[in-house]
Amino acid sequence: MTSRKPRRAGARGASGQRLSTLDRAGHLQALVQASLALTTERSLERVLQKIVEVARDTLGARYAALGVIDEAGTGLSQFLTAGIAETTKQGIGPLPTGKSVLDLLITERRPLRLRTLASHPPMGSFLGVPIMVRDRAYGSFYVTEKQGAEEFSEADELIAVVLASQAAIAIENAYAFQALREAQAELVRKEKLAMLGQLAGGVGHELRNPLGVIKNSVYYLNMILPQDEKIRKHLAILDREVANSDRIVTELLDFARVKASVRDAAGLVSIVRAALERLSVPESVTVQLELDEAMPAVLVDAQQVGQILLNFLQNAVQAMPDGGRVTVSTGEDRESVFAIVEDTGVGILPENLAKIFQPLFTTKAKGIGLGLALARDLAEANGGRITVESTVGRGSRFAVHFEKAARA
Amino acid sequence: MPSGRKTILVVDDDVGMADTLTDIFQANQYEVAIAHSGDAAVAMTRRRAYDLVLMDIQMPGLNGVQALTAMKAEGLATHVIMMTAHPRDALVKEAEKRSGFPVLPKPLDLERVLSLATSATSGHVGRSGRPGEG
Repeated sequence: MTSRKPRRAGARGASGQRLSTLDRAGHLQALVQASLALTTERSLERVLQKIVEVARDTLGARYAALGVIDEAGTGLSQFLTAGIAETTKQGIGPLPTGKSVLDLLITERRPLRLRTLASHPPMGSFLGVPIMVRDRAYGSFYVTEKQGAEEFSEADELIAVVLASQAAIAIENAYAFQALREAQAELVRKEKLAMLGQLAGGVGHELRNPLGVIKNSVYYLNMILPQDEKIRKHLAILDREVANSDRIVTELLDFARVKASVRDAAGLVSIVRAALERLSVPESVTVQLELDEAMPAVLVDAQQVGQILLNFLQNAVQAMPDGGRVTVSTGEDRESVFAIVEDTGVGILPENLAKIFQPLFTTKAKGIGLGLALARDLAEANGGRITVESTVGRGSRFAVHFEKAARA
Repeated sequence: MPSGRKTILVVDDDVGMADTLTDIFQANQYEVAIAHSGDAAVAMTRRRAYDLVLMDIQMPGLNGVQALTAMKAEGLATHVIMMTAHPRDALVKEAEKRSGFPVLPKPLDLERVLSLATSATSGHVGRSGRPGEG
């Protein structure tokens, strides 16, 4: 890849020279500019862009490029350039990890100065530095084709190292800011849930009394009114709607109940069976069971886990208004045991998949959108987790996983 | 009140609830009296005996369980059935223990209320009995 042996950092370059006072002032100004960008620019991309531009200008390079490794460490999350036309940049495409100059700098973890770089898109002189904070490499950047000299100087390398450390600070700040934002969002979600819980609980209880009074009145009228068909029909409607309202109230109250889990060794299969007993299945829906009776116990609150499964089951039935099949299965892998509820229903749009666990999100004409929010909270309270897969038009698959109970 | 009919004291601070229950029991040949608070209920049971007291748990002032405790302590009521709109309230377990009857959740299942009332007032169940289940 190189046409000559790379120079080590610290080795005095052929073009190493004393800087004039004016040059030094210029470099200082450039560094101040880059520092300023750190404090004034909110977006990481713009900070890094500024650093790349300052690097190119200050170091007298024709081109400059900066790459940030993505979180998985398998590619670049950012690639910024200066002096390279956008079309050329797009022509380069995604940089292959483990092969590019940017990667070499990261694996070498030290600056690299070369007179020519042959195996890359045509470059003359080259100066590259890794972007590091302590032992962690965030990426690297390089400048190429020193203008007015054959190669970059040792002084250039020092400036590049300072710019790289500024880039590192910017990246670290951005990551910290992102983590903060995620923590904040989680906090808001929890607070929203808690507030919603209080409201739901209050409203739920308040509604139970008037519903009870209406139900009593209907019962009384049924006793004393003549056996007129229309009267019977309307009293039956009232009765049914009171029952529907009461179900909604029950859902609100279940959600509101901030109850500590009482975890005990329990069999997931028997919890599944109990949930199935509480499910009303329309005739158009068939239920297929694939239960592994020999599964090890889990340490959970059986009532809460039953609620999670009943919720999956109700959603599955509701997702198949024209009928279909619900497959309920249980199984185990190395660390966990799991229960899966799979339907052949309408499926969930990809853009909705991330939202279905948010309280009050619903795509149903009827429903208040608390079921899955509650299910997720209950799963977390029992040390479990929920996974979901769905294909529009083919159906959804909800699974809840729990750690195996430690053997005595 | 005329003899022959069984007597019920309905205790609920919700006027609509007490009213509708009164009509239903009267239509089923019971003599019904109403109290809108726990204190009033205790006072009324001191004045005369009822075959059955049907009482809400959550009421301002003396709550249902406190009223029940007072009635039992003074030997004022044999059969007290409690009802609640808050079936998960901590008071519910205590109410069941003290009354010897299951606490009925609101909205009420009226067939069950009437069948419990029949069992209780006909003397088929005692304090520790679980009517409707045997």
